[in-house]
Amino acid sequence: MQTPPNPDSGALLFSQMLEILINGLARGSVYALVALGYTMVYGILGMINFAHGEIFMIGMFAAVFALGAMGSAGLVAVGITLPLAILLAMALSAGFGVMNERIAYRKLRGAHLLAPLTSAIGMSIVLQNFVMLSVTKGKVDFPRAVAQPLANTTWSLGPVQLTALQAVIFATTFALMCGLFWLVQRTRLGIALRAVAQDRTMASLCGMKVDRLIAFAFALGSALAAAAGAMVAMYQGVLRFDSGYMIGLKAFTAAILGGIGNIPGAVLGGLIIGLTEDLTSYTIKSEWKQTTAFAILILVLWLRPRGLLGERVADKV
Amino acid sequence: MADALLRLESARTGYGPNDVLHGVSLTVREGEIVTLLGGNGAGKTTTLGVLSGIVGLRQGKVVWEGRDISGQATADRLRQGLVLCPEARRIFARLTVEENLIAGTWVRDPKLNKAKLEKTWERFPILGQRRKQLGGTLSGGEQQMLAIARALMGEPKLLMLDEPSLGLAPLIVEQIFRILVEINAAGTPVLLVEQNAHQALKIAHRAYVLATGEIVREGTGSELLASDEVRRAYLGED
Repeated sequence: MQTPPNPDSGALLFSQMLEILINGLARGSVYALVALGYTMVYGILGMINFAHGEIFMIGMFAAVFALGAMGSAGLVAVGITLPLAILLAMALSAGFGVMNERIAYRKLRGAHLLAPLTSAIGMSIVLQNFVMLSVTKGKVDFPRAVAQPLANTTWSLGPVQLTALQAVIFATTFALMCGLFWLVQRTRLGIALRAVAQDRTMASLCGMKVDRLIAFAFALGSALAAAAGAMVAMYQGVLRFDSGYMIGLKAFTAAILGGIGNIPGAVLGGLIIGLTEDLTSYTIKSEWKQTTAFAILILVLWLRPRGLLGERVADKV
Repeated sequence: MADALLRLESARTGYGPNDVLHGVSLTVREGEIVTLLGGNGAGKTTTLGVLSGIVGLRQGKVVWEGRDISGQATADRLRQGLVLCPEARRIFARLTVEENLIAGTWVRDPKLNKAKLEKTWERFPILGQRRKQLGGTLSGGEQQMLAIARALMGEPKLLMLDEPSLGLAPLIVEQIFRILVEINAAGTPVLLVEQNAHQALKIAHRAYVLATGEIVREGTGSELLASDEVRRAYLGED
């Protein structure tokens, strides 16, 4: 006996794909924001900042505390408090990023590669413990009064729903990425950052303050990570002192996948990892999402050791 | 005779326990082309490093327009017009030609960039044609022109160059030296470090010969060009 063709199956598949696309891109754009920080620091110093996930985590907490403080001060309009909280988180994390560079990197700039790597891992442990001891060992909730209305407001995009929360994530990440590209590609400051990345001696012969520009790159990357942290905190609803670990690892993977040191590569890598994870959750099981994400990384590095958009390692961004 | 624009007084410096310069003194005056000759390891690049502030002094001083600037950072010296076009050109390979030039204006007013770029395209039409190309894609001669043009973007009152002829074909070298003469004729003094002694002496008003960290001769360009000793040591003639 023949099964009658299901008239809905085509539409169902299409709507599922759209859903995966939206969720995957929302997740991926957050990875991308964090990956930009890894890739910028690598581009300018040739080093991996292993404390970057913790900077992201500090951004999460900063946003939650800022919202809490504004809430208890009677400021509740989400349209004002949320952007303000994100900005505050970005500023605080930028400060931590600069401090991180100052303490864990500057003195070791001429040293063997393993030295700053070790000090960055040390910094990561210090920051995690700092938050664990000074804030809490347990979980902290993102203020429901802020996240709930955004999660409950939905728009129909054809057959699927887009929540206001996702829209906020898309709009914020898109705006921040455009801002970063504009800064790096179109301004004098961007030229100076790229000049320092390529030839520090010549940059200082042009009168550039190399130390300050490197610190600025850390501040920029940290601010982006904090914005991502605020949004992940909102999306997940809970946060902990070790919340930066997994995202940091995945964003690092995204940066490698896209070609470390390459700014568009970090964005591409982030989106691919995000989409892969959601695709896996839908088609296989959500427990497998990390396996497939890292399997893709291994596959790409096997076929293209410099990453998707990576250039020769010697020519950093 | 015009006043000294730049004076290096008994400069002594080095990198490890040993000194590379053992009391080097030299002077550049307004309007001059001065060349500093010497073989490999004589201390030519170190001398320019001391003048531009990337190499510190152990003894002696750098006097610029009558003031001691020995303690000043590179950026402050740049602001006063002491600009170095370094050895091996050091073009930013992954910046465009135009971005390389803008990098050269970091200590200057960016409002003037447009006019300065126009002037650069006029003086170096080939760079104008390649303005959107990456620096690393230029030929050696074009890169040297870009390096000189980038230095000019810094509005030098004294242009210092470290071996601009290095690795270039003879025809291109001639072109580069013609450009230096033009820059000088337009009012900018030039301090030129060279191994290509013959070409350098032909355009220089005065010259110093540096050997193992000491000035062993000085004189006008034509004096040194005529000197048997210099001919033997640096021009490969018997």
